[in-house]
Amino acid sequence: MARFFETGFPFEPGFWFEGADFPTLDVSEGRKKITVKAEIPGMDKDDLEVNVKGNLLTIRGEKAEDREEEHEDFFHRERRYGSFHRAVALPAEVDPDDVSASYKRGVLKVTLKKQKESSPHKIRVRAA
Amino acid sequence: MIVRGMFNTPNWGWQSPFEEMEAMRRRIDHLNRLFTGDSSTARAGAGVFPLINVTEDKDNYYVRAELPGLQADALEISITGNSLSLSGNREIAGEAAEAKYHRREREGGKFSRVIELPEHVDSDRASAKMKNGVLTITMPKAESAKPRQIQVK
Repeated sequence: MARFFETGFPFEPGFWFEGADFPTLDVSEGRKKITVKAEIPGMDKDDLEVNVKGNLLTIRGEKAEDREEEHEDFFHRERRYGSFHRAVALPAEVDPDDVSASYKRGVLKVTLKKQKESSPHKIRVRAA
Repeated sequence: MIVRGMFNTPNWGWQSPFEEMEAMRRRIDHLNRLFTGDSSTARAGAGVFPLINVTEDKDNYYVRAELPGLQADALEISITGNSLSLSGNREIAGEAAEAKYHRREREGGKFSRVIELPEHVDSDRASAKMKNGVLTITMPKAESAKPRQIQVK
């Protein structure tokens, strides 16, 4: 059921954009921050929207058709355009005022600062 | 060719109707191919990397490929006759050693794809550029392949 909340309501626009999991993304957690990298090639950075609410990160956008292709004839077409939307649960609480996002080579990188540094609690296994 | 694993994610019960539709679509595509001998019905995104568009105008053929995160020097492009070969190695930079991944969907590795163009191109004058993860290859049409207007005398 957890997946339901991550991929969005099935009838929302953009759900069919390249299957349910567009854009493809990595979520990694360091000691102080969480990094999310999403593959969204061919975007204009102004058409990307990143939102953080609680521990939910939402990436949405509108991928416009390639302007250069407008005056050309198609032989073969695989690239998808249109609006997309993906929300992902973050592994820790983050500071919503300390989020940075950059777009480079078709990859969106979002860096979020964690509220608390993580100090994994080790549990010793004792011999009985 | 990289299998992107888009459809390999664990499935929950509610998704099964979509899975079923996907399977049905594959069967229809298979039939299409059987009857028409056409391979272009293969659906975009189903394990093909990179995704491409092929277009033309009066003078050129254009191939645009989606290669997010790829450095231009990790790419090899070659043209023989009317076939364009695109190969490379996509490296996904890892995070700091102490970072742990909660989700890792992006897949790196070697890829290669051959694209048949409708006509011969002038490979000497072909050019390529990368922008926002999209590669554009411009290939001027060979003189013999250009449309020729015939004057009626």
